[in-house]
Amino acid sequence: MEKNVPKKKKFSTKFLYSQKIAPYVFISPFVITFVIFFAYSIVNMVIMSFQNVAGAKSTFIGFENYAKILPNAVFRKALRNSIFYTIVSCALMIPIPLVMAAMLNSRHMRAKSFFRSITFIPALTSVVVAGVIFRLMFGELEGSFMNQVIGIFGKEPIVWLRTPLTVWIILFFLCLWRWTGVNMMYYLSGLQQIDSSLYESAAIDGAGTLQTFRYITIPLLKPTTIYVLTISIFGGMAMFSESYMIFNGNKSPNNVGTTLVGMLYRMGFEQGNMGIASAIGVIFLLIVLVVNVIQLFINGTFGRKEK
Amino acid sequence: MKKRLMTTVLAAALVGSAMFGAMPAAASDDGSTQGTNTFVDGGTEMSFWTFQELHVAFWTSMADVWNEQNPDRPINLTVTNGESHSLHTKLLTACEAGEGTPDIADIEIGYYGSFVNKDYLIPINDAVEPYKDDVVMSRVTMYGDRDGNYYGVDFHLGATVAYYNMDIMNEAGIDPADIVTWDDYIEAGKTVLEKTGKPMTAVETNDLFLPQLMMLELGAQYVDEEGNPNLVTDEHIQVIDKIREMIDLGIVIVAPGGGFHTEEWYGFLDQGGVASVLMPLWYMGRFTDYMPDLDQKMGIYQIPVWNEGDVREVLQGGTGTSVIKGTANEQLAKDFLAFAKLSKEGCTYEWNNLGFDPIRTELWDDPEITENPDNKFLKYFLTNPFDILKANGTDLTAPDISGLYSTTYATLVSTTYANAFEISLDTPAADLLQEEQDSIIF
Repeated sequence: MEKNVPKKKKFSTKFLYSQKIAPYVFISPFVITFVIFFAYSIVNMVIMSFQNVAGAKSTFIGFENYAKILPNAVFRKALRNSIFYTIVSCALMIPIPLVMAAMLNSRHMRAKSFFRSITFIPALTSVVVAGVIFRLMFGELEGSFMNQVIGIFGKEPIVWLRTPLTVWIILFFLCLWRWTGVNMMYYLSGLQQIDSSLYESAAIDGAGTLQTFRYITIPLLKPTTIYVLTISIFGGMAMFSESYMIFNGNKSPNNVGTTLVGMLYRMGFEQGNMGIASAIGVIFLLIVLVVNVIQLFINGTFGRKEK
Repeated sequence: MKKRLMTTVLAAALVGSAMFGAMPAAASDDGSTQGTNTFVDGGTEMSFWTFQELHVAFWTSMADVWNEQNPDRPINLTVTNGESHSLHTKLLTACEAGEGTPDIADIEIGYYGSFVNKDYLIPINDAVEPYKDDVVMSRVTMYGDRDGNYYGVDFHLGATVAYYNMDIMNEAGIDPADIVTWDDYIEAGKTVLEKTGKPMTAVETNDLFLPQLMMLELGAQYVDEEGNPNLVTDEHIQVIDKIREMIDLGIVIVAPGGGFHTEEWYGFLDQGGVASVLMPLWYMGRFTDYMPDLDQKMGIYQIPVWNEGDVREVLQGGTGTSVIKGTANEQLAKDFLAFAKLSKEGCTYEWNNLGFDPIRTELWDDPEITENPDNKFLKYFLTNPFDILKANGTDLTAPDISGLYSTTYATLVSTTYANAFEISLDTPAADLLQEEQDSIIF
């Protein structure tokens, strides 16, 4: 049959049906988007972090941007805030959804789909709306919702949004409320992949509920946990809109809720200081890379490939 | 069954992860709207950006008036309105890129310095020239640089006044007209606190109106001669100490919500939470819009000063409308801008519809303006604001917003005043200001 194909047409045919080229064609949409929207911007960001950026008149200034930013008190506070937020949110956002998913997956649970839906609904609301509602709920006057709630227990009204401790409580509360449903879904899908015969044999061997959870469920959910942990670290480090909405702008009192991204946004887009903002971006990128490499290393992701 | 459930769960997880990724984008969702004037044939197309819905009608009506008076140079104006913060960010980014900028734009005072500093605006000196003798020039020149160029014109004069809640003042038996100096104000505050249990006023932690007012009275600014941040000054220390003294006495509280533009504060003020608030005259609009219960209860008086005989008026807040570099119709844009903001027609519209105190002095003596029985602002308040404008003349101190003011402002309203008046009340003002000064990146 090949002999019947005219020789002139061969180039295009060869190209279209080539087994060597086809894979590149298939991945090209991703590669092109990645190169244009990610790789190019990242390279440009690194270059700009060494510049005094002023449109066409940009000049290279060496490490001056880094020298300005690293000792800065506000930058350090933002860095601390971001790291603290990431650690605590990971500590909250893995065990709680895991336990809830296990409960929802249990045969004894009633109205499963109802609970599954309501825990997922917050993830579908806009963070803008959620932020505004939380801001009003945690108002500082006596009439605000939360002050009425604590009033029932005889407590004095609290200035929620200008006290560091309560600000963090609100931010974690918002985070839990919003993302528990999503993480729970990941765990639910992970749970359903576990072979039920494992549980059966464990039951025959006389294992209790807690034991099966500890020795079967948790180890077999490890891939899911790695994924959830990774996105939680990204999400935690990138936290910005929650703080922006709760404080009605990128200005929390004494920077209690200012994160690295908030600082970057303030320097770059509010004050037009792109060089400094790029330097923050580079530092941010390095931190996230290092953290994730360490985390993947500990979880053995690299080791497994070598087998 | 199990398979279907699995699919549903996976699909939901996918949606969830997509949303997780899209999180930061949600904040810039602004829902902008547009308005146009009555287009005429052969009119020059111009684009305009603003962050305030009410300004759209002002600009489109002024374009119609302009077209009537200048049939040889008509304008077809399209005004786009968006949420303040995201609009300023977009404008700054567009200027940085040198592409996609409008011909003219409203720029709020807190952001203005960045635009002047980076040389994104066109000087309008020649277009303002014909109006020079009719307006308060310090309101125009403040939107300028050290070389004598100015780039923007405001909607209003922005004269700061004292709004007194007369129910509270009467209960305490004090006539606000007798309060001249800050010491008088403090004495009156003590009486008010004693007789009514209410604080005299509030101070913001997320904005700077009260401290800036006291600074301007002393002739002090937040930036130095070169335009660099200059927080550690004797005047600034004096101002912070004075406000702290009032906080200690219990006659000044931190504004609920942290500022004079928050939901909590509007409710608190409306219910008579404080005896007075010191804000510019454009704040009248907030009273008529958000504080219906204070109708016929508020009196407008002159602000307290440091020494008897000082000028009892300063200029605060504002929005500088400016022509953006890169416009194809530079001269037309400048002339239209000056006409809209400085002509009698423009200033009259601004007063009647927006409650903005006119920058044009002849209007202060025009009974049709000052005694207009249908004006909602004159009806709401017990005293006439024009008496204050007339009493203090035109030689008024405006804030210096040049150089790195925007950068300085961002620090003042996020950390400095929160620390000074709420969080670190015990840190001496000089140390606190030095720390704040050191934290500014420029």
